[in-house]
Amino acid sequence: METEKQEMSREELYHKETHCPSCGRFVGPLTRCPYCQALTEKRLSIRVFKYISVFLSTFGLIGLLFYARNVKTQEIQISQLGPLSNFGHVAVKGTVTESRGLSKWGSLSFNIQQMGQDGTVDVIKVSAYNKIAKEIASLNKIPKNGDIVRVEGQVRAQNDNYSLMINAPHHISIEGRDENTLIAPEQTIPTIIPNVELDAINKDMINNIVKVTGSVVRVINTQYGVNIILDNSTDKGFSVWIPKFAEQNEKSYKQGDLIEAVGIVSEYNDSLQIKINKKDSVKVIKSVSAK
Amino acid sequence: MVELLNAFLSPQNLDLVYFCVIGIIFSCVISFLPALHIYNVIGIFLLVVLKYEASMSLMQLIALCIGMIVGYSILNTVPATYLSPGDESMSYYILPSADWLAKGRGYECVILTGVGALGGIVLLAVLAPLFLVIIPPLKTITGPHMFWIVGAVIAYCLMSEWPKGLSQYKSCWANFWEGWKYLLISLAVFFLAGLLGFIVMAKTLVPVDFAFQSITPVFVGLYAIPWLITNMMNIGEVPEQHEAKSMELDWELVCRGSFGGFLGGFFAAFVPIVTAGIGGLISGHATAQRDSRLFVMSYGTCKTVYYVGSFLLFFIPGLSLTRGGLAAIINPMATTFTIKEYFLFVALMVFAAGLSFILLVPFAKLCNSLVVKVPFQYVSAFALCVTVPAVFAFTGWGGMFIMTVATGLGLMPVLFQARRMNLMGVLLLPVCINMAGYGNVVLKFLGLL
Repeated sequence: METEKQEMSREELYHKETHCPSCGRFVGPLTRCPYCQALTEKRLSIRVFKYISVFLSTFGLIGLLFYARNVKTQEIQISQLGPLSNFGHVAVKGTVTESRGLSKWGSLSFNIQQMGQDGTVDVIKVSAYNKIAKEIASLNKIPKNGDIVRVEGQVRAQNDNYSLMINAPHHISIEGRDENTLIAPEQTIPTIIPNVELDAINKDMINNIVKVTGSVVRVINTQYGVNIILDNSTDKGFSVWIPKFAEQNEKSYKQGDLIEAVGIVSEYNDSLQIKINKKDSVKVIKSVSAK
Repeated sequence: MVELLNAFLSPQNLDLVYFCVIGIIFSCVISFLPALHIYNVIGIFLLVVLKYEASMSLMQLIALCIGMIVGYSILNTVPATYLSPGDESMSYYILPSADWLAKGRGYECVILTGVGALGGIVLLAVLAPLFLVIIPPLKTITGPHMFWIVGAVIAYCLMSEWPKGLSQYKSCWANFWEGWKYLLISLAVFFLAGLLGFIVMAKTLVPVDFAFQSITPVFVGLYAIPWLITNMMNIGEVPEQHEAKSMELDWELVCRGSFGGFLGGFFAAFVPIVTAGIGGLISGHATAQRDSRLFVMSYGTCKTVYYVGSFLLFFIPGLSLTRGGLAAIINPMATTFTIKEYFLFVALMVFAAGLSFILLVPFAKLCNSLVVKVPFQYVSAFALCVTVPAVFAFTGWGGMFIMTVATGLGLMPVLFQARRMNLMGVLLLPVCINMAGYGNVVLKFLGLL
């Protein structure tokens, strides 16, 4: 049969495969002629792959389902997380440092921290939506500061921030208490460097908390927060970034306002900026509208 | 306008043009091989860049991605046309591009698709300022309704499938089966793909370092490998191709094709999970397209608007609209964008589209002569030999398992005369159910939670 096929020209083979051997009419991919019901069997490769596709789509998929059910979620260190881990389902074990409990919207969030191998402290925010949070609360599994917990969830990476989203109440377990929490939050807060000139801020000051004063050139409101550009005698200006959580209730900054800001020096898009990390860290000293 | 020109022509932004050109050249190289999707290539590229800490600023990376995505959306037409000849003994569907190729008009098809793509880029650039005004409220309005919009898209995809059985029997049940057997295959493909989607989304079966691209083995299995396998089984021939000196094209056709394609592409770019194929189908029906030239052109527009438009929407300042694979890849690294960066994106997009179209002509001419000399079966076999080890290298045995199962699913619609579009159930079904708030119920039922 195969030899016969090889002897056929390509055109003949194509004709044979697409036409009914009995009535000679065009049948295309059909295996039974719709006009005379004669069987128009296709070449071996098509038949074999048809069986393979059905087998893989059914038994293969069931096998994959059972494999996925039994696969153990990988436990990782917070420091291992990066932009490439986004959407990964992982487990993290650490000490709860900032348990915020259930919010007024019913969601749950807390921070857990781990001591890295090089002595650094890595922190990740863990959260759960309303429905799951309520189930966690009903199981009395809302962690307190100092609890050692193991949480499983999906990694969410956005704007260089990482968080873990819990999808089921049994994905959190409290495994003990760490009375000597790795690092007390107070110890991590450095002292504020007062009255720093904007043009004196350099890369050596990254991660330091500074207090600056400047005139507002531009205000960019975004979904994540407010970016205030201060005049530093350059075209670009100097950015003071106020994330959503640190926004003041009264946030009417206008061009020309003189403001005082206390925040951490950080780098963004190859430029230095001051990142505000708590409310009421930006004050309007002199408002344009007050004139 | 002056500000935009200043920004674009500023020497400090010239590096972005350089990275954009690199991206276009890169997309041209990968377009030689069928089955390599740009999202997967960018994913692997990022993995390498971040692993070796290559110094590249965020905007440089974005410029590179713009070059890649625009270049790919235009240049990918070449392998999609020349390396997909129709075989009526195997497939029920012969796309117009395969039909044109069989008539020696592959070059014409490629250029016409390219014209459509350019039309799409022009529309995106013209409407870019308007997007800043209309997209934010549109997102707010449609946000709470997105699950049923996606549900309606699913219903449309399933219900627009039609019975293909032609035989008539005396028995009522035999006729019933003849009418329904192909529809049932479509439904089976859709729901089995949906089940695969639930599994892959619930568990990370690939290394955590590659979790951001855990969907790669799924798509390679669903689309790339079945394409290569069916190409290797294909007994169709690619005849001598004619290098047309002129095109049968008028402004009415350009406008109709671009408009229809833009509607579909924009819908796909805005609604989550909907792809260019689905958007194109819906807009094709909505604008009652009949002419095959119109189909080919609007396909080019739709594809480009989907790929580039979804990435463009990501740059609307303060909106955080993550649509399409590329925006999802860049999202963890990206921060808030400004108006200047948005328009810089538009400028780079127009530049990349122009350069890609200029490259398209010699690229198509080269393939015009190569395709009759090098059998497409060999090219497909080579691509298969590259793709499978690459997936194994990055995703390990877990990824291989997923890819193998997905390959079986991907072969089903081709070999059993259903539409490949049903394979999008892999994302449509889980995402729609998750948006409706029942994702965990399904996962619990499947024992995946």
